[in-house]
Amino acid sequence: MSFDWTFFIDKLFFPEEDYLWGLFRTMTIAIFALLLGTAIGFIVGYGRLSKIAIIRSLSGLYVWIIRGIPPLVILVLIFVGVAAAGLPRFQQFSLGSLDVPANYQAAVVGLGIHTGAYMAEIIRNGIQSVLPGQIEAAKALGMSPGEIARRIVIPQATRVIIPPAGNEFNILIKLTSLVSVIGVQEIFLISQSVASNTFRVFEMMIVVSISYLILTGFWSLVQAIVEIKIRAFESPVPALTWGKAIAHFFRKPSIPDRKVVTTRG
Amino acid sequence: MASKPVIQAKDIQKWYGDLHVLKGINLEVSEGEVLCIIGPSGSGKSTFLRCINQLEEYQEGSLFVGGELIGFREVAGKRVALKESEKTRQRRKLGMVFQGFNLFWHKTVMENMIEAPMLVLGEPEEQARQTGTTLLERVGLSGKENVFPGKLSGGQQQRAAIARALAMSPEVMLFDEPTSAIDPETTGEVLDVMTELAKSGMTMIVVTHEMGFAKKVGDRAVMMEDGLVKYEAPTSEFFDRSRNARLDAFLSSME
Repeated sequence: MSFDWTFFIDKLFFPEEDYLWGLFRTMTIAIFALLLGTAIGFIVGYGRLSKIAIIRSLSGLYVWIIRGIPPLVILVLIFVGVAAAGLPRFQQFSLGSLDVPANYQAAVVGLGIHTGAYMAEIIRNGIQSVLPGQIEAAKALGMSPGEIARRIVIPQATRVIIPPAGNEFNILIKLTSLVSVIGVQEIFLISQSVASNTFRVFEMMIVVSISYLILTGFWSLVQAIVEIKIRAFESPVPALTWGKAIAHFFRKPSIPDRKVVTTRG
Repeated sequence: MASKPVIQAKDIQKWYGDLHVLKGINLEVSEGEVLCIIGPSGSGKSTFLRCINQLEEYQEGSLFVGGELIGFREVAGKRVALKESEKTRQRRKLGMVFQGFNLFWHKTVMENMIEAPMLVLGEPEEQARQTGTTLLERVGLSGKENVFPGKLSGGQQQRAAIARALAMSPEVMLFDEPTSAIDPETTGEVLDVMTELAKSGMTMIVVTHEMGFAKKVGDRAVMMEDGLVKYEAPTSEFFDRSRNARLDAFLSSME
């Protein structure tokens, strides 16, 4: 076996500018796709619980169709397929000095559509987990449906939504490698071209694996702290501020066991 | 007793599908009066209470709170359900205390206290906190302001829930079996708060199994059974069992 350590260490610790731009694209695609997916998730998730049958059906249809199609196919469909069919296509635009190419937009939209279907189910489950008594109490206090959604249902549902949504983001970070098929210069595509130019496929794939590992690892850390923060109501010492939540994490990194929340004392 | 009726129920009827749960309830509650509703489970007493606060809809009859028809509007002799915003406005006159407390578990006790006054009544935070502090003191929960409800005992949670309802300055307080989910040791502290509230002149409707409380604090009591008011009397007479055989049987079953 030959392993080119010099090449490996060079690529790992002294990445070229191209690679750093790739890392930037990977991260921003994941973040924007998550934001889009969360927005879709709220609309479709609430839609699944709508009193209006047609909205319920359309939302169910969205989840069924999107969860049934591989994200790779969605990406090719909305970027190449739509253009080939003569339908309106993504157009490059500029944000200041930064060009936002058409395939980058398609990447965000495609992954957003994909993750939106999963987020819809996560959000629907979160909303349904809110105990009816909480909503009744809010009604009895004279709060309007909008106020109840904003102040009671969504904050309580968020505590149920965050763990699986964080998991979804972890998956999304790795799924960004798929957008290489529509030519977005993210870390996987860049690594592939470096590999094929240098024939150092093994070394380069380990380098890119480590990059993904750092991104997902960093996210796990953030998620653990967020979970401590939102569980203040059930942890022994209320960690009310972000500072306290972070301190709590580093003192005791394991997340406290989730206690069943009941309405009774 | 002041005679001005705050709550008037006329022939209230309600169905769940084919199930006829309220078969024509007629009741009046005057200002400052404490009405206790007792009866076996499934008699419709909680359902009736929830109709007053529009957590349930009734299909026939009419319910007035402070002279205003609840839940409906008469348009050319036909009943039209009110919009949600109208229902929300009507609910503000009524405070409700639930069997399961229903404190917002993601908010501290003080946050529970100030939520609705700030959001619904538009009170400035400082004022809401002041009222909150006073009310928590009144129910004996000073020092628990920054605690989450999950850390309190059942009795403490229910007292906080009473204080939260009072923070909205309701005209009438509705209690739906307020002590049924609480350990017997802490039942007393909740009943004490309710007794004090009754003495302060609050109009109260209390669905309860606590006969001692009904006898001592209630001005009037009704027994409901099978969706109807079966017996109604001032509490001084109500608990004289010789007057009503069915009531006697029910009270015996409670002992």
